[in-house]
Amino acid sequence: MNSLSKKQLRTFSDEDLMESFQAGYDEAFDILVARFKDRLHNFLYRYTHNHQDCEDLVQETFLRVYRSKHSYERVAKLSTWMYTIALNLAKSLYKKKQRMQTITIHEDETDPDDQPLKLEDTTILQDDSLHEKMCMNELEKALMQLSENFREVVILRDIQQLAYDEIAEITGLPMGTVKSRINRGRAQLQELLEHHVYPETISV
Amino acid sequence: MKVQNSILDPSLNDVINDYVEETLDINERFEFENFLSSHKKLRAFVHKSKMGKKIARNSYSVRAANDFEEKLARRIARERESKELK
Repeated sequence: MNSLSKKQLRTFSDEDLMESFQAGYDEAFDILVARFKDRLHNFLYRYTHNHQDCEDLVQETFLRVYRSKHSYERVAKLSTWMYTIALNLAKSLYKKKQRMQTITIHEDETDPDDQPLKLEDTTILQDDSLHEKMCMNELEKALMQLSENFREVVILRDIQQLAYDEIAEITGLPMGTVKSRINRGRAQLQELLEHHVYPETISV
Repeated sequence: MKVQNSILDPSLNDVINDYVEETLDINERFEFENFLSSHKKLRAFVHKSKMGKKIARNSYSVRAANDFEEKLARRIARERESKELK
């Protein structure tokens, strides 16, 4: 086996990197982490709405990739395989949290540590950015209100911008179902936000 | 392109999807818009789907923390160590 430098590995496709990792190049795994870490955070945050849970899930996704590197076969795109792992982990966490909610005592509103985490800093914002931030918060809330069936395909398509065939493979759904759920999910999202003004969506 | 008037019709779903994704050619788009002009409920649905797509694409992106890779490397190292100990 010829030795590969990190510089050479950086030019590889995701699938070639995975094969190099399988062949013993641990640097290939590091490059994959660098390539996918933001995409997976962006995807999993929409399920958890909590930065810590999101980071834990992304870490767990990469750990599973690391542990089961030999179970990846090149028949699938590497991104499809990774998103499938991430989606399954997100669904398990969601179910676990739902079970926990049924036995959790209600939040203590007087306890400052028992409040939902703020997404970003709380520094004073200009009017425009305040409006934009409010819109973004409403959008995140609306995404969480979509049914799980709609939410997963809308996130994969419109936030992660994956191709339809990849979404069908990750979710295990027929293409027709993917398209139908995306159409309906988008329409429902608009309904949930119809009282909010998004500059780009004002009808002429 | 033949458009059937039922939201449950798979071919209609495909056309709505292609319309919202803006992948129809100009003739198909014209034919579909013509069809929509006489189907009010469907037109409202397609409009909502189109707006929903724009809204979702307007979403901000979330990025990994600066120390993410360092933490992951530590976890992997711990895991390897414990395997080696066994």
